[in-house]
Amino acid sequence: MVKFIDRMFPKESPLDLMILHGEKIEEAVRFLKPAFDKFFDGVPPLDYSEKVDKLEKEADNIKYRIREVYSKLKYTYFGKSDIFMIVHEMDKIIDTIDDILKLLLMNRVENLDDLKELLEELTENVVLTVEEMVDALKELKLVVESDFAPKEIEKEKAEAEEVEKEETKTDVNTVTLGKYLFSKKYEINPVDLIFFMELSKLLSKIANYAENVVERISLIIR
Amino acid sequence: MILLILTTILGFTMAFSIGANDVANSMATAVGARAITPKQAALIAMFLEFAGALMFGAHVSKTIVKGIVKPGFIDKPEYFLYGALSALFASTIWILIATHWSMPISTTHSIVGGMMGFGIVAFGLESINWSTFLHIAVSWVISPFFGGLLSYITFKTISSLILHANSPWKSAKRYAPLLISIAIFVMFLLFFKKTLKMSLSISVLYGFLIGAIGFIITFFSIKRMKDTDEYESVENVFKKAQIFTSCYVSFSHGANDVANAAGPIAAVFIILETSTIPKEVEIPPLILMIGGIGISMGVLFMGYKVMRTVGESITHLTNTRGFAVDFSTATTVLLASVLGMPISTTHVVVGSVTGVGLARGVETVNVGVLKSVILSWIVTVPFTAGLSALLFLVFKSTLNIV
Repeated sequence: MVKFIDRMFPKESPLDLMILHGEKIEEAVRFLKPAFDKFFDGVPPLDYSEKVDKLEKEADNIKYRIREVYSKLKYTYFGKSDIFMIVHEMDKIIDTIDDILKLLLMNRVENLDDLKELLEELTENVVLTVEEMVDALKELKLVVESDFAPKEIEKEKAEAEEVEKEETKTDVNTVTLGKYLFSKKYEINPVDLIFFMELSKLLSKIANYAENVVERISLIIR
Repeated sequence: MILLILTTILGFTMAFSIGANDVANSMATAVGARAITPKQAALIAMFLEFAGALMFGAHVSKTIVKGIVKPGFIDKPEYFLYGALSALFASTIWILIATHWSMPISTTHSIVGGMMGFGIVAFGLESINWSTFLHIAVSWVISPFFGGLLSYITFKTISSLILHANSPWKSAKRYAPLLISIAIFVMFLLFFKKTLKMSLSISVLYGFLIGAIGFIITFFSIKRMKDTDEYESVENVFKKAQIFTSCYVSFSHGANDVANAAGPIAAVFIILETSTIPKEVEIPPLILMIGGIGISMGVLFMGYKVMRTVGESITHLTNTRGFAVDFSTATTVLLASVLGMPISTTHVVVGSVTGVGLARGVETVNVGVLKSVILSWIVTVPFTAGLSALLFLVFKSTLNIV
């Protein structure tokens, strides 16, 4: 009879796990800037890549724990598919950060200070987008605790708008970076050009995934 | 005399296992929400289970003694004596099996099945009070639904009055004492009306007065609390309130479940004393005390461990949700007790938690557990009835009872 009540609740709250997953992503995305600094100093950012590898594994473990919570017949106020979709998008973020750091280990460049500045700006906005996304996840917990109080839903929507604004900034940064790269097509090594285009695409994807996460959150709190 | 001692030992063992197992029903949400420690919970529950058993336990015990087998059919008192013993034996065996296999059976269902089983064999099918049995069976189905409905309404009330308010903290200070005083009012109204047998108007008046005193005390103790984070402060208010509602559940549990042990002991006691089952059965307070002490001892010696285990897994239930679950469970169980309906507290807890879940109060609830409730409805009564009947036949043939 003891186990009876025990079995009614999952061992871990899926929302808490999602926030924990988000914090791993936040930790990983903050390594991008120092990793780029090292890269432009001509040092491969191997240490950061290893750290992100470790964080990715931890995030994977959290993902499995979230799936485990939903594995049995459960009543949940958020649809299973919505939660899985959010976690899937969050997972893509940390995978992409890992891809970027691996890419930085593959190539070396010199004398590209203008490009460094543009990449730094893009990276800063990507980091902000992810941080806002994690704030939105934390706010979701408050929405739930307040039993979906209208004022908390409004706050959540405001968080989502912030993420969208940051994501728009990263779009602008990506276009600026692209224009710069193509304006230097006769000066930059073509392989480096492809390399930086790939980096810029991956960075902007991170912001897109973060936007997808908050868009889905906005949908499920209605 | 030997028979009375044996019945008392068996009844005490059963009461002990009820206390050990079911204590989680009353105090787990408060322990999980960190309102009290497992040790405090065990100590509080011990006293309140005993008080509930003594104050309200007689109503359900009467149903067990004379509500299942019609007293008019009991032409051979010895049959009833050994029958009650068989029912107690069968229930104890079934509970031990169920505990070993971690099956969610109800002690209440077990004893009702046990009494019915020997009744059929000893006095025939027509001796069973089928209309009472039907009422009891219906109450088993209705009680979790009622608990669920009440917890749904309670949580939605907390939500609209407090959580959705512009200042949840200020609203909590205003409404939480009111909700607590309603619980106090219900508890004392039923106590005065059903236990002290006062008139309805006097019971309402006294209940109201005590509820008002409760309101004033809680109002001032909450007023002194400091505001930290908005929702955290609300939860803190309900953390205090939850200590009270958990006590309310413990009290109600003692009131309802003591009958599972005290009922058969009372039956044996009455037969030995009067050689018949009188029309008006009075349950001796001593027997309720034996049952109450058994439950209290179970709580004291085993409850701490049980509480720690369950408390750890129930942390998702915040104080506002825990309050709704406790309030609904206690009110449902206490109402059933004064109506003389032996219901399963565990099943009412499950219903109440599901009710809060359906009100979007709990993130995830394993509704698969509901299957176990249904299984308990289907399996327990036939099993204990069969076993009790078999044991009765064994007693009859080996002891040559005619």
